[in-house]
Amino acid sequence: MSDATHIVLRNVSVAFPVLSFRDRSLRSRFVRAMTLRKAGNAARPHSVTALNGVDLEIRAGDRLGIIGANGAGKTTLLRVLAGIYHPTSGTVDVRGRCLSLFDLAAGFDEEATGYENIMRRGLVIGARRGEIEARRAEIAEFTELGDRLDLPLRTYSSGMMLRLIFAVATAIEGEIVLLDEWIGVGDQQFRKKARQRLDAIVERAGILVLASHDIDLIRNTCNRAVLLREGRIAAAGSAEDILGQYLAGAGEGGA
Amino acid sequence: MGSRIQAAAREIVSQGAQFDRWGTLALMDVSLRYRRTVIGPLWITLAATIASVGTVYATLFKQNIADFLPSFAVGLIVWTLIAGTLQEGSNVFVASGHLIKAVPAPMIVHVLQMTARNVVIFLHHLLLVGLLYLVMPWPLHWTLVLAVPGFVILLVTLIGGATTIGLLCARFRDIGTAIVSGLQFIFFLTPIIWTEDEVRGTTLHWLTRVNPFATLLDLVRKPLLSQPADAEQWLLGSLYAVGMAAVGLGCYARYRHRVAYWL
Repeated sequence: MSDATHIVLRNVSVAFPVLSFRDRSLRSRFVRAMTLRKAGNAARPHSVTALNGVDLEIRAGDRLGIIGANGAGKTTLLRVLAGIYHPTSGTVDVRGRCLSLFDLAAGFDEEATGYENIMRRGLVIGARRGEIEARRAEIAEFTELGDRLDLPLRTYSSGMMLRLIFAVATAIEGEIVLLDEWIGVGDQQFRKKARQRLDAIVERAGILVLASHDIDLIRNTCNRAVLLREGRIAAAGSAEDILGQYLAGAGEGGA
Repeated sequence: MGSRIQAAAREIVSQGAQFDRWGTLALMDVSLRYRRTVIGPLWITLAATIASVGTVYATLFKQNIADFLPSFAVGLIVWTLIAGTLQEGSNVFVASGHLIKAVPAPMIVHVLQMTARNVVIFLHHLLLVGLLYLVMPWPLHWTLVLAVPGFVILLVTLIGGATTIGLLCARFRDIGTAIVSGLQFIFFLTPIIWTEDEVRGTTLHWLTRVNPFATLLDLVRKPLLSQPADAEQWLLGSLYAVGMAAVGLGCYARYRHRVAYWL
């Protein structure tokens, strides 16, 4: 893992336009323009600021926990790091191959077989055909689904589906691992295996960014943490300190 | 702005080169859609339409069926590609909304995959033309190969158009329906169920000259029927392709990063 792996966010803000039914209509905008109605405050779609002036520097070796209440901007921050949202202002510099482990079921198709879905999801997340074909057997073995992989996904139980989804998502490694809550899947025996694999991936990754509400998990996994509050970084420092602040701030919700 | 356009163009070229990715996904999409059928549902409807409408029209308007049927059949097949791509294009980002918010990938991939899907269906339909060549006594001519450059011109225009429409429809949701009905309207104004010869000397004939859809359609249809398209059509078609590609690239450079926010 190269030391060059890093993430630098400078003054990053993300604002979502809240588009009403009216704002989504070109016709109503056209009518407004034609009738020369003044574009007053009411005419502009208002926006919600999900991240506000975030400065963040993550270097190789860092295990960063993101904590904060619901709606504080944790998922948005992860999506910015993954390159899904390009910030409305500020700069993002991410160096290293990103493995984003959230929304793992995206790209799967109910009608397609297990094997076809391995290919589909692989292609969707940016792997090349040859790369997936080379790992197909290994992924299949990990799922322990055997011949069932020749059946369409709609015949799978939810447990089987999760096995497949997990196996495909973790088949390709990244220098930067982004996790929105720890993934735990399947029955007791598979859960253990999944845990081991995830641990190994995190171990090998240059950078881990983990958004979670699980205090113990952050304490055990991360060395640094940031506390998000209403889209701003309210505090940053060692995981232990920040967790202390978070718990104190959360009042009776804490220890 | 210049560097933004450059970055967008680089992104499109590098994604376009990863043919195995979006091409494979498109092939899978089509095979999944056809999975439980033997020859594909679209194939059946298209063949039935061509046979019935072709015969009825030929009788109704006292046309020679051997003249009318080929032009109608090929016209309808090419039109299906045009209308299918633009219609799906209007929905391309909205339909992949879940994916766009889950997996980081350049937006153009969705357009390429969607277009490839429609091209696969088009090639599938072309078998029908091959079949007609066997049944009908048409002469084969070397100009058949001109269908390839014609197809490239059409495809560039469609990709530019679908990107533009897709971006527009992601922001303004009321355009999608307008496009569907607009295409229906254009279908009747384009020489598919009627021929250019029938309207010679009327306003409609003038219209076929300025109708971009008619021009682009002819660049593929005429070579497939072993008739050469004229120079004016080649020139106009190339202009449409360049123009539409420029508009598409401009919109893509400006709005591709906004799409995730609109979904």
